[in-house]
Amino acid sequence: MNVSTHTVSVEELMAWLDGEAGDGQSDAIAAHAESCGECRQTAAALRSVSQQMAAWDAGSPTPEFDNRFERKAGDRVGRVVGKARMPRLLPRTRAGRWAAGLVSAGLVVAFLLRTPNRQMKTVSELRPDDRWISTDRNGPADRFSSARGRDSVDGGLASAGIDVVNGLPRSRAVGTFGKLQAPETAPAPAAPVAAEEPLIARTATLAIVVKQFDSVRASLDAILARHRGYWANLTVNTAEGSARSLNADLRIPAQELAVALADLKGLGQVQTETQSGEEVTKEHADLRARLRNSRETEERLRAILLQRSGKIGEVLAVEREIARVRGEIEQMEAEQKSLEQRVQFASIQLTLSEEFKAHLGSALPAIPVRLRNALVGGYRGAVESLVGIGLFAAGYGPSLLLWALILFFPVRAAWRRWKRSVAAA
Amino acid sequence: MDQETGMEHSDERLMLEFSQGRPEAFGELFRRYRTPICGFFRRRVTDPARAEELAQDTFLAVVRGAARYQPKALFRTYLYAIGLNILRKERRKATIRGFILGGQTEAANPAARDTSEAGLLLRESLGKLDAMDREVLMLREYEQLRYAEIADVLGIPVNTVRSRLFRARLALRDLLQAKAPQRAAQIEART
Repeated sequence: MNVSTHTVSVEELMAWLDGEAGDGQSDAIAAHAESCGECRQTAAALRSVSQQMAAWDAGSPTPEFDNRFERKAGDRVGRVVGKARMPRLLPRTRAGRWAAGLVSAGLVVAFLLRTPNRQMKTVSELRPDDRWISTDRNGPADRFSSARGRDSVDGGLASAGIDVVNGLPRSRAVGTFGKLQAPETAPAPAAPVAAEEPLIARTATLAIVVKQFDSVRASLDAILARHRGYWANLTVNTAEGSARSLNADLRIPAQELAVALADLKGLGQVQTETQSGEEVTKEHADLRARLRNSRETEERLRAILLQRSGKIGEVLAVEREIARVRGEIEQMEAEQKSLEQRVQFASIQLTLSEEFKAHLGSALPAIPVRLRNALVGGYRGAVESLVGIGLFAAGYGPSLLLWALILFFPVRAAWRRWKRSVAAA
Repeated sequence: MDQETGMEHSDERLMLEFSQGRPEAFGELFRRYRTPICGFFRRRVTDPARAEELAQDTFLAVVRGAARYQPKALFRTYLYAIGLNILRKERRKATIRGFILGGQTEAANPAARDTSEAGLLLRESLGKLDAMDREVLMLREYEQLRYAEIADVLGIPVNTVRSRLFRARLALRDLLQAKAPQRAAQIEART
């Protein structure tokens, strides 16, 4: 076996030749190089390389070098004195530069991802006093979030002939609202809402995971009764081997919405929650005006009919016209009622899901079926991913390209500046 | 030079004085480094005139950056780092020019372009070294930078400088030994 007897490495030997060996090592390396024939040869080879390299003389600058530099530099050399320092565009420390870079990148991403004409915000994005977002950009977005806003609604209802107690219409009646069947406890549509106040149709969606699914239906009914609301649609899914779920479209008096939502959230763990508001003031005012005109037209036609001065054919024509106008009036009245219903009763799309716990006893599907389903799911997932990538590229590609072009030169300049500062350090 | 004491100022002190508004200090630095910087570029760029232009650009960069100068490292490290940046930029431009216009890039192999007979073997051999190994070796042999300074200029650890330098020296020795007989035969055939 060949055992090395060298006490220094060849790199240490080279460092010693270059005068780069440590103070304590120089003597030891020199002694070893003196005694070791192999290291002497290595040292000689290294010296030989250095000597051969020294043969390449690059020469001196040409005589014009100084003059050319003076012409190039102009008066820059003299102007270093008192030269006003440009304000630093980037922070001095590396951490600061990283932070500035991240903030800039965040701003760019936020700008790119900003959705124009956004009408709905998730609750987590809303400030406490900004819960209700009106689609009318001219109107105050959070009018109904304040006590003053609520008072104005109550005042509007009261002025319209509705008896208001604690923000709620007192009069209740059994009624049919479009195709929706309301329970007896549900309030009837009230008298026309005063048109002077902004009318906001509020909607909310809520997805909750509950532990005790069996008792949730009773709790839901209790909440609806407490807030004098009703459900317009209710679907319960109890598929075997999977979590049970309940989908309900609830109607709650608008003034009760916040409290009702709080009660509903108490049923379990909230997964998602969104709230939005749509202003329908203009639509309502337009409908009222058209309704008034149609009623006046009907009255005039009835007055003509009472005179009975024309032929029978003309009388029949007037009656047909009255029937047509009457039909229009009834249709518009229905629309008005529906609109006011949307304003008075907020809509909550509620999804209650059971916290699923698998049971050992449940029969599992056959493995080939599961494999096939997994393959189909995988294929769909792959296709969806490809489509998603394509959509992303189509949707954001031009913007990203534009920003890349805009940011290229500043970033390059900043990068060079950073490199210069690193070199200077 | 300090006229009162007769002692030479350090490069760093001269640069500080220049940054504080004494142009004579820069004159002294220019006098000290004009030949080394010209040599730095002449050994790395094909065209000697272009090499001088790049050397002038290096000094210009020093002038422009004087207001921001901070003596955190040796001035010559600072100077050669600027020179190396300018050289990289020049090579990048040459590469792009070659890519667009076609043909070979003149700066792709800067150490193997001199047509003079003397030392041609050496330059050819240097040109065959790995680019980073060659740069380490040349900074050590021609610019006489210390290992730590080479590490600063190239942005690599000192141990890497040491190992690359050793590798480059041995590789160069082997190349020189292998090429020497061929070269002698060529010269003989010519004569």
